Amino acid sequence: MHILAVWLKDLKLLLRDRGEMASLFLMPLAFILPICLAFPANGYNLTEDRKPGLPVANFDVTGGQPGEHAQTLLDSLAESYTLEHNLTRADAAAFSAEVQAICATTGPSCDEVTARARVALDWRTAAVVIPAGFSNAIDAGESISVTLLYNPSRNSAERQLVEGVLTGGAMRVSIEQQLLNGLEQFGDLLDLAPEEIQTNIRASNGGDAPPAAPTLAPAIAVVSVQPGAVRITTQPNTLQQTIPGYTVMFIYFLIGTVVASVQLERNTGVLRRLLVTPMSKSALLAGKILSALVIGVLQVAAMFAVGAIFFGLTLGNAPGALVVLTIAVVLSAVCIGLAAAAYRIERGLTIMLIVGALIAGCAFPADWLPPFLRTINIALPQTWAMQGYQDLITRGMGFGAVLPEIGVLLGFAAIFFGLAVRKFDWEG
Amino acid sequence: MPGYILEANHLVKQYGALTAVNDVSFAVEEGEIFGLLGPNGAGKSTAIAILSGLFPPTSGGAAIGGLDVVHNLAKVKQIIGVVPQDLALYPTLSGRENVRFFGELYGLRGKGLQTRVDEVLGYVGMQERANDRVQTYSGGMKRRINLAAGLVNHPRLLFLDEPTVGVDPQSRNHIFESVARLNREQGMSILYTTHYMEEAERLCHRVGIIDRGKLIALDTPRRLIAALGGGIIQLGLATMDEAARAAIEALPAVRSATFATESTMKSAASRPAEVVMPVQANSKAVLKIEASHNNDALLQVLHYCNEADVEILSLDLLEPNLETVFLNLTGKSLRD
Repeated sequence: MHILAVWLKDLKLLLRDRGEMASLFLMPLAFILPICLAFPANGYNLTEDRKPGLPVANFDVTGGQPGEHAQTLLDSLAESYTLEHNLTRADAAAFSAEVQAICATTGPSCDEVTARARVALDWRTAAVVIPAGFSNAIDAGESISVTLLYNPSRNSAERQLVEGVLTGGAMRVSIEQQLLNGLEQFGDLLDLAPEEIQTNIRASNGGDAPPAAPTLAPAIAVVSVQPGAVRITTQPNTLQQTIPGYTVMFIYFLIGTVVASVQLERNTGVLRRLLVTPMSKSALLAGKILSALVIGVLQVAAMFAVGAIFFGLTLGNAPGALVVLTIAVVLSAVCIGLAAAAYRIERGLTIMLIVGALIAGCAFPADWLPPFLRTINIALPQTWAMQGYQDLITRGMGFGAVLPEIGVLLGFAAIFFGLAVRKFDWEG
Repeated sequence: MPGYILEANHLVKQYGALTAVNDVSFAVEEGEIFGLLGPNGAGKSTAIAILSGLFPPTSGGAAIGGLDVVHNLAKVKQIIGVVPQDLALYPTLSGRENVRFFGELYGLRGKGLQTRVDEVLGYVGMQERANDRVQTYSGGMKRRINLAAGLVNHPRLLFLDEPTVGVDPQSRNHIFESVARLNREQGMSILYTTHYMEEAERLCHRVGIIDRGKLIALDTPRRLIAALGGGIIQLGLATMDEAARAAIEALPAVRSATFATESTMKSAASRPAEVVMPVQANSKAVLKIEASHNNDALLQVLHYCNEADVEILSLDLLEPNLETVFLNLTGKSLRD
């Protein structure tokens, strides 16, 4: 019953604190609403008429120049995409050391590893790999494959679009070659015609036709494959990034709320007064955690409701997992708040929380960050919270997929709760 | 043999090298208002914190209602009420909500809680403003709600730690009346700490004087004052004349005469009961004369000084009260 009394009291105090309520509920909306209204729902594409990027690795190179047919294919793709090839080490700076090592030399190998990384990280829908000997094979009328690397978790329509453009480009090369071969075969047939007809036709054709060399028509196959040995991710659209992102950012502002609550009780002498009542210390902490938990869950529910009702955000396929994840996220924030209060970390919290949220990928996808930041951000609970929400909302995964995130967040909660209890100055 | 609601035995509380409470022993009788009188930092609040179970003593022990405060703390907490020196209230809750919350912590529920909350709000005269937020109250009104929150569990022993600090005269009187009524009508035992000697004189049946963590006197206010005799005369002299001091001490109406330091003299004279001559900054020595009868002693001292040509730079006549008792015991004012 003591827990209930403390819970209700703290809930009343929080709900009456306009500053805290504004920071927890209005601040995230102040970010979410303008961003979701300003950007198209399907991404941060500022220039909608700009061609999307398509990584290309062309191994069909002769004397430093693309093979004739590879060039035709590239030209064809360039009509629809901004081709990303001939990359340098600087272009690979965001990727692993292995990728950077390969990119020490500009060339198709660098282009290919970079393309694979970009697709795996969902920076690009797909990438094209043109094999060595592509042009020779076509000239020889042999079958040859062009590889399309794609991200299976990405919208299949986008992949099909790339496949269509690539297949079209391949067909163009193939048909041109078939026409040329047809013409050559026509030249052979012409030799059998009367001399006068041969002269007239050759005159209209601008000279002698090359000797006939009948060949088989080349067959260019497009083979679609997934990049292997990497974790496939799906980039969120504007809604999927912004709404969970700013919600997570401001859930962790509960840390400041808990600190302020303990600070008020300490500074007014209420904490000492509470301790001379029959209420136990554990009941006091539990009541405090429960009240902040309710506020935090309400905060998430409010933000997601705004996203769903006003912007059509879909919340994934596992509502139960969403609730459990939210409870784990809020618990981690509350327990960190208790620890911060115990260690009297009262200044500079806001800036720390904002920087933490940026590094964790709350304002923009964490994959945009350089590798070292993506390495250190696993120490932040916001990173796991964002990953959990992205798994559920963006990637449509289920409860099992977010168990690691829930586990890590509960681990954060347990560790910081332990630190709080250990350090808490009960004598005020 | 009186029944004791509280017995403190050789309480000691140390914080590193600092001894906040130093071997303090006293007992509070059932139905008694017991005052702990001492200046700020004397150890009064620390003593209350130990007795109310906020933290254990370094050594010594205490019992409340026959229950050891360390080993039976849960039961002790049920029979005590604590009104801390701080305004330990939630500013954004109303007075009623604050009192109600503390009532819930003592296990009160439903109608019983409602009735008790109304009762204590009535006791402190805050029913009309009870539904307003505490942050809108005056200092005195906050003090009254502070008192109400300490009464909500109907304690047998109430700790009142400096309950009148920073309040207006009206609220102060209200608090006095509330405390007196609680004791008179409900027989509630009260441990009252203050550094206002007039409060202790007015309310307390017995007073313990505490200074630097030590209990230096314990009796009824009347007997403590009576033990002082006629009062104290402070004489500002141009020189520290030992012959003059001995001669004055030998006068029939004088109990003792001792030289005090200049700083002690200034602070003691900051609130004299009656000022005959203002203390002058150029006084080189202050002779503190404890009189058995103030008027006789004053006449004899003035006569001696006149005869012996001893230059008097200032003269203070301090009426006998707890303030002068404290001054006599410690050589300094309660407000130091």
